[in-house]
Amino acid sequence: MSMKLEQISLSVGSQTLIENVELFIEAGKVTSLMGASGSGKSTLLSYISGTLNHKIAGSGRILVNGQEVQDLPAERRKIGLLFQDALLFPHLNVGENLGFGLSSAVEKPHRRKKIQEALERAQLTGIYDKNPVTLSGGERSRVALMRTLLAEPDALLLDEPFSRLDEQIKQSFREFVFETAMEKNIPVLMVTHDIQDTQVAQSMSGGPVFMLEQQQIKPLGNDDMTQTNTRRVQ
Amino acid sequence: MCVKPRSFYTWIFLVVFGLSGLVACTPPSKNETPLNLSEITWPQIEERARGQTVYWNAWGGDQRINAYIRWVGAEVKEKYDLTLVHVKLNDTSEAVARILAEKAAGRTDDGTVDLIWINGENFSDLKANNMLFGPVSGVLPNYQWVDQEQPAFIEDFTIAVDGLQVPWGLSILVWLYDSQSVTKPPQSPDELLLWASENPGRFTYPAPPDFVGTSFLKQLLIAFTEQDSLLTLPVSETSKHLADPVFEFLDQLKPLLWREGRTLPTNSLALKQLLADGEVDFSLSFNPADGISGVLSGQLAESVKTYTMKTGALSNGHFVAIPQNASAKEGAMVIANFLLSPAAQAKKADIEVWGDMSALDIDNLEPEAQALFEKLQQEKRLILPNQFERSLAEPHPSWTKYLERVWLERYAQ
Amino acid sequence: MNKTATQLIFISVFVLPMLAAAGGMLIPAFGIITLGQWQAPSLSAWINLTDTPGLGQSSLLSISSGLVATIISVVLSQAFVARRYSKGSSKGFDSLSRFLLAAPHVSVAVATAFLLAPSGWLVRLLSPWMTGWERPADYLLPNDPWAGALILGIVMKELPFMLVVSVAAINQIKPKPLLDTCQSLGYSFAQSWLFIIVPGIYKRIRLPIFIVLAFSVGAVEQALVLGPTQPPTFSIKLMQWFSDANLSSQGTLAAGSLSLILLTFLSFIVWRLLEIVITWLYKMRVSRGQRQLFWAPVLWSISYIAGLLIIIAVVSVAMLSVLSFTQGWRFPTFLPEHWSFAVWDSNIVLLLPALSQTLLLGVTAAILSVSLALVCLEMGQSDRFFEVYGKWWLFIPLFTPQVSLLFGLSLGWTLMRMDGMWLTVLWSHLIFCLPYAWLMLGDSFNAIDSRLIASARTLGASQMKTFFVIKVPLLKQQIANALALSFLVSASLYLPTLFAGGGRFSTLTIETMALAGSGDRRVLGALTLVQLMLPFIALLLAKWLPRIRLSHLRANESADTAGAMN
Repeated sequence: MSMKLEQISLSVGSQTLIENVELFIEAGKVTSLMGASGSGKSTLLSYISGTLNHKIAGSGRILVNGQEVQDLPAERRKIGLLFQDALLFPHLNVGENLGFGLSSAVEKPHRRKKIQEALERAQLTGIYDKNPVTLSGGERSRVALMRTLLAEPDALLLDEPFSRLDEQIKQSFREFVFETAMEKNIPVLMVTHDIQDTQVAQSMSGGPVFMLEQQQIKPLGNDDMTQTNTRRVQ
Repeated sequence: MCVKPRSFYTWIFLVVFGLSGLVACTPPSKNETPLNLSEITWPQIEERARGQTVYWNAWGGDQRINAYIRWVGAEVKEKYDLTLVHVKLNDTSEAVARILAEKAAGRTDDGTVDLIWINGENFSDLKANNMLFGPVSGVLPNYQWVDQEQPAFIEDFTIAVDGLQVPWGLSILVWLYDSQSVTKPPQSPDELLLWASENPGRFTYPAPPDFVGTSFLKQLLIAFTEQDSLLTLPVSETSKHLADPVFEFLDQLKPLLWREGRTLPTNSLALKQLLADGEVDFSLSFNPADGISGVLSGQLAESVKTYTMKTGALSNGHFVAIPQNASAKEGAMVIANFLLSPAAQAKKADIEVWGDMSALDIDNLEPEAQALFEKLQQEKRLILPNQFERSLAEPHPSWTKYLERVWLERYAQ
Repeated sequence: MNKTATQLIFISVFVLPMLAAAGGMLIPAFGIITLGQWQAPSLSAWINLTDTPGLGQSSLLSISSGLVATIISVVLSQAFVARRYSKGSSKGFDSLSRFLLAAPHVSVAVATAFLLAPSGWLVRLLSPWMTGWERPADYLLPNDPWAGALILGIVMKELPFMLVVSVAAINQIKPKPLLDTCQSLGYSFAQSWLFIIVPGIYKRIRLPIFIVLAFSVGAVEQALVLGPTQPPTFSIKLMQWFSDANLSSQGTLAAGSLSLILLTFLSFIVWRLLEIVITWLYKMRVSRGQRQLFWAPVLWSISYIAGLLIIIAVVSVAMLSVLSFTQGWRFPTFLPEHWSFAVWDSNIVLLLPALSQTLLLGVTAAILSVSLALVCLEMGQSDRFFEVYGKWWLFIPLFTPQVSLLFGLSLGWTLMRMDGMWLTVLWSHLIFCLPYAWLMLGDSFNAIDSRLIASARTLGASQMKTFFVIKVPLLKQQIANALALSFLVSASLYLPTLFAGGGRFSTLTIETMALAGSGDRRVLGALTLVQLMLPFIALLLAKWLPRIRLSHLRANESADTAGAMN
């Protein structure tokens, strides 16, 4: 399994965000993409997932397992997307949120079991009927991840998934996300501005790190990363 | 990249677009064969009328009349399986304008008005435009009971009725006054002026072209000209000076009116409310039972009395007619016939119901029908035309228009 | 293709009628069709129109009463919200003005008439002990030739509307830090509010102000009940021509309808000039550094007038309803002597059919217009047609005088033989309900976090599923509010019901208008009471229905409960 981006261009009006970008994302690894805010990282994820705002023009091919998906509607691409705010649907309880992700092909008697399994997997037993508003930030994040995974995506996109979490929760959750993703053996693309995220991703999964700068994506070597790190610290 | 549309929009499309399509395309219900009065019998008409919906356009400002029309609706539903819809008008000319607009738009059948409560200039307008169906009166079985010698039913505002409208009742323009403040009601226009000068701000009349307001002007016209025969003819250059005294009188009256005549009540019901509120001491009505019923219902003070002036009271007939382009002519005829039945007429004449004077010649009715009216008379619930002073016939309808136009030019600007 | 379908629905329900109305006015006005015949264009209709006596005065009355009523509503509302902000909002006043906002125009107009009349309860309150009047005095209210009563009647209905939109604007501005800064610079609260906050509010309520102005210039219900009669305002003059078979031709009527639109535009221009003058004066003063103390008393006295007006309006509406339970109430007694249910007994047969027709039309129109608005908004997120053009088409009925619009439409309806049909009435209601439903839902719909939608889509939910399972439940409260508002708009429509229905469909508003100028005031009281129950029930349902399920969750508790109703 893999995901491949070819000749991707994005623009808002006359302003070009990304021009003719190519990227290969390997399965089982967490590929990181860094870049300044406003550089178009998140927009790129929207384009890949098929949820681009209609005011933004996008073009280029997206291949998931060799299949072109760029002309499919979002729901048929099978590309999961996880945001920094664990966005649970506020009018549904935890179980219903997870059920929303689960494919309708799973028959009724098995559904609840599957959801319970997912909750156990995320060490969240006993919150099935809870209102998402009452959960802690860490709990919410894990529910959101499980919801995405229950949909059995062929690829996973992470949009700054850890930036809103407390330092303590962040570490354990980050490891949990990467482990789970690697276990599923699907391509993962993570957009972040936190150098720690990329370092963990690299050390755990061996995924490469890229930088989005001046409308182009360039690979970052270890030296560059240190540099970026220093720049951040300053 | 745009979001792909789903079948759900097709569904919404079908519902909403289908709905608007339905609005545009619903075929009007039509009768298979056109109605030819010379080739059809009354039972056949009743048969064809069954199940029809009749839109009766009738002035709807009086709750008691509306209630009577509702009663008619219930009766014809039960007896003839007819649905009667009372289209309430603020002024009969609204419906006349609609019929003429339909004619202008080429809508010669399937019109929106099936039956119209009408007389005078509105009748004259429709007759002149050939927009009345008939003659229908002779076809109606109950027409035999109508007082056919009544001049108001032969000529309506001097225009020959010709069976194009069916008599329904008789009206007389009566005065209501509060006997607590008016001890000796004026008996002529001049006495009225005198009273008004002694009691400024306590008298007013409905603003023409309101029906009653214009009738007040006509009554003045007849009184001042002492029923000149020129009034039965159209207004001409040589006869129009006859109206001058009316406006000289109104000029003198104006500063003495309620609110110095700067505003007038919109119609006779508004005037009645002013009398009820004690803002004025007089009201005018074409329904001689108005005062009595107002007192009974508690709207008017018990001191309110009804009378007509010694110089006479304007009197006319009122009718129902069927427009040429009506959709449910048979149903309209069945209703017109029902309205002439002794039972319907007796109910209408009951002061507690409406108090409108009957169109029938009571002496010629069958005994059991006569008994209905006799019972009312015994219980003092009946008003008869001969109770009032001289009744004055309506002038030619062109006088109505002439008086209204001059009045508007002089007082409405 | 299906996007095209939605566009087609929108066009057929909404855009086509607007074009038909324009055609229905322009074609006869220039004599292109006279009595069903095609002819060369001519100006004879306009010449006929300008020959009509009293036309200039009617036009002047329409423009001046519209402008004055709008100015008063704006000034009063600004003073009132300033006080509301400084003293903390009062729940009582908020619900009173919301109640007035939801009350039909007709009811408020009739109540104002009963308030002002020489035998009305204002005079009764003061008589005979203060005025010495044993019999009603003879003064010229309502229907005064200067349109004072008309202006008051409009203000009573538009003031609450301006209050609601101003409060919404204040919530957006968050004035506290600005005010603190100004006050620390030595300006009084009143002056700070006027010089710094009001310009910000004004920018946000400009659109509603123009809606109020257009409405006031073309007002029909209020003008029929309260307006001058000799001559009446332009819109009433038009109404009279419609019903006079003799005086008018289709061409003159069409030219008259267009003239009323021109008058509305003229009032917009005057308003724009006023804006320029006031901005200039403001710029002159604002940076002079004068700390003026007189603003506070001015502002507070105006705010008291506004508060008093709201109370008077509500009390007179209530008094009118009380009338229906009386039996004989002679001047000058302040309270009725005898109480009875007689009026209700004898009129229940009239009320029930009118009530059920009102409910049937209102509920259908509300459901359809809210559904259509939601679908169009959903399309608007991916399509420029709805986002940009849709909105402008929607504003047409709010900026065009109803008489003119309906005259244009009714010609088409007569030709197509559609007048007098229930579906035509419903259609005419949709034209006026849809804009309000759209305005009411638009902001919250577009405020839904797009990432929430992206999450749903990437989890495999189609656009339809996302719409029904995520968006609609999230907007439950707003949808309920929009339904209530659309229902109330429909229930209060007079001219559309009259024109499209050919007078055949009797709603509460139609019955009230039929009796408004005359008739037994006690019956009017009964009608008013039933009409006031509707907003009560509608607003209550809008508040409680969305809570029935998942009561612990509300997607978005928003302040715009009563919303923008006009």
